Amino acid sequence: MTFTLAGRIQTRLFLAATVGVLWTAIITPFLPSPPMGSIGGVGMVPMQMSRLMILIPTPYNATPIDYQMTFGTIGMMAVVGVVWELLYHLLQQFRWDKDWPPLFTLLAGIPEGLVLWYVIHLVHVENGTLALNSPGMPMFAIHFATTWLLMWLFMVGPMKVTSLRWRFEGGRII
Amino acid sequence: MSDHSILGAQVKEMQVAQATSILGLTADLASACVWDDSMVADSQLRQRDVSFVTIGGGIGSFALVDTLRIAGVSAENISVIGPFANAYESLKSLLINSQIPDSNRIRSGSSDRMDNLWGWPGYGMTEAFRRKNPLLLMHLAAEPVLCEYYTPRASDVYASMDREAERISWHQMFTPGKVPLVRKRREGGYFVVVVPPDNTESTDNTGSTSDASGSKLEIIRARYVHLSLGAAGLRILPDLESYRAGTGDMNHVVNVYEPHEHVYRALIERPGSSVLVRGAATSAMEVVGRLVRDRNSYDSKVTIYHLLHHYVNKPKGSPMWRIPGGNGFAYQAFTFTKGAYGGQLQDRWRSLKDDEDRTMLLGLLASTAIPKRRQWLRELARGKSEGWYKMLAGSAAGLQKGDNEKIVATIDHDTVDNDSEHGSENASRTIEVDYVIDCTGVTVDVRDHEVLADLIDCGGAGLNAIGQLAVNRSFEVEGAHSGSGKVFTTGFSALGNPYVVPMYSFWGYQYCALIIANSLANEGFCNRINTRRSIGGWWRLVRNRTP
Repeated sequence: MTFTLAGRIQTRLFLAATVGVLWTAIITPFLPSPPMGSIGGVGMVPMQMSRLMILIPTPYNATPIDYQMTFGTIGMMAVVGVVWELLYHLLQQFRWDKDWPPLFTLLAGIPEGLVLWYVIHLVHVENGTLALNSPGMPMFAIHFATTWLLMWLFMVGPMKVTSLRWRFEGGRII
Repeated sequence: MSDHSILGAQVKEMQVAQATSILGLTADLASACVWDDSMVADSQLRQRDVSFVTIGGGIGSFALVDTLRIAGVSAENISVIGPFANAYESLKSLLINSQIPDSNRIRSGSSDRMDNLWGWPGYGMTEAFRRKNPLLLMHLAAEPVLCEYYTPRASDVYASMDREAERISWHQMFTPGKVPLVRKRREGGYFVVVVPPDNTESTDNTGSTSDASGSKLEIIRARYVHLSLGAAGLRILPDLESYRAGTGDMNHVVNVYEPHEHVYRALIERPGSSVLVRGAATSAMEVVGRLVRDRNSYDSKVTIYHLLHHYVNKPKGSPMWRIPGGNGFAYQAFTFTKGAYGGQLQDRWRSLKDDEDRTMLLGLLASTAIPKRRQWLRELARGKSEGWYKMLAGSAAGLQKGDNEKIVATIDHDTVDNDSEHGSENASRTIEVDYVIDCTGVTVDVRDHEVLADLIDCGGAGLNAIGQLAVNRSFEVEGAHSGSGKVFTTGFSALGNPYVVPMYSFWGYQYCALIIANSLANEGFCNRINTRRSIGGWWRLVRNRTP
């Protein structure tokens, strides 16, 4: 990948708004939702008894609060991501080739995921404990990891088809 | 009249004489820089109309024609003129001479594929599926961090272009021949003079056989002309030239892009010979690789002297501009620094206003370097320790004929001897070898192409700071427009333009093609490749349907 700073930011926002949003809408009902009340949402918790008992999630029982958490996560990934991109761009300056190997982008998901876990608590997209054994962790981890991977796969492939200029203009879409 | 204009007038006269005698054009046509329809009709030369003509017929032509076809231009509206029916033919012979036969891999990335404007799936992915090798997919994900870059096999590049040529009806658009002149048409557009292959050598001093029955010349009337002619024949370096002229020996001193298979054969047939390889770029690397393979396979016992201009013993430069290096070489994966292929270095290039700054940056982005291939470096280390590979660093200062068919090469300022990598500087030294293979490059003079020289003298084209054609941001040759007609150029002849750096790369050819197609879309000649057309065009490519 040969990114310019503008290209990086555009690419991230584009991927979050397309692949990220679409995948989040699809996968949220299948995610292991944390038990009600254990992490709480932003003030509104419609009780749904079935949710407390059913351990295997089904597509039919995602609550608004689940969507609020997953979409909130994607939103924060995009927003905080802009700051990350500034850092990556800075690091890119120390590379002779001034490029950014796809592997870097893939692995960046690890530090970004950890920071994002903290950030979504900070802005109350998710409440509860920050500890990695938090009841909300499985849902977050599965959601974030799969979304990140899909965004990456889209970037190294189909993105070149949907936006022809992308690979010629340093990752810029517009 | 200034000296310059006297010289110009003389050149012009010579050109007119040449054009009438060699081409069989009427004197009227040869002497006029602008032709009109009646002049051409009077000449009774064969004539046809095509909207778009691309001259060269190589990779540059292929990239543009492919893009225009995807943008909705029909095959009937395009004509391709070139010496070879297959667009990769010139490239192939250069690669074979520089020791990259079909089975070897070229120095190009996976997603830069000439048969696929989108670059996806790349050569690597296609190869992974064909060979049912998922490891190759992991390789692509890990490059260049955990492994070297994937590079495609030359034969795969050719085969894929064959397939695409078929799809876009390339051979239907192709006319074999040479174009010596492109002249402006008074009513707008251009007249392209095409000399068929069997007619290029014929000389007609009367200039009168240019009638419909006698001459095989063809005139194409076109609105748009594209020129992508490649390096114009080989210009060997002055010291090789003077050695050849002085001794008459054409065999023992060769340039890497010339056919020189006889050198390798002789080295095998006469074990224990020696050869001097000059240069620190990829072609030198491939030549040394071939010599080492021959040494291993045929026990040629060849001694290889390798002359580098600078010995690079460690990464060089400031922290922000530190080129990796070691063992004598600077390392860079591709011909140009990666970030120049559309990345931040392209932005930087575009931001420069000063020709001097641009020339300096171009030197940096196209540094003499080789990809860091560990296997190759291991062989060199073995050669050094066994004493059959000797590295020298300095400048070549002449070649003389020695005794027993030997060549005496003088090297100035040798800063390295093979035993200690930081040897003290010797003023000058000589070595005796049996052969010299020069891999320091070729010079590209835009005037070596007859048609470009004519375009400059007669067509209003100007030159840029590094002596190539000056173009605007749509790769239109500045000053050469004719009514609504335009001349475009890509590849070597537009190197040094202020918009795109890696002109002679697959990526560069495709990007320039896209830029030209976009500007032609603005004029209504083709459709803009927007998201819908892009996805649709890609889907047709994947299913191998005509665009």
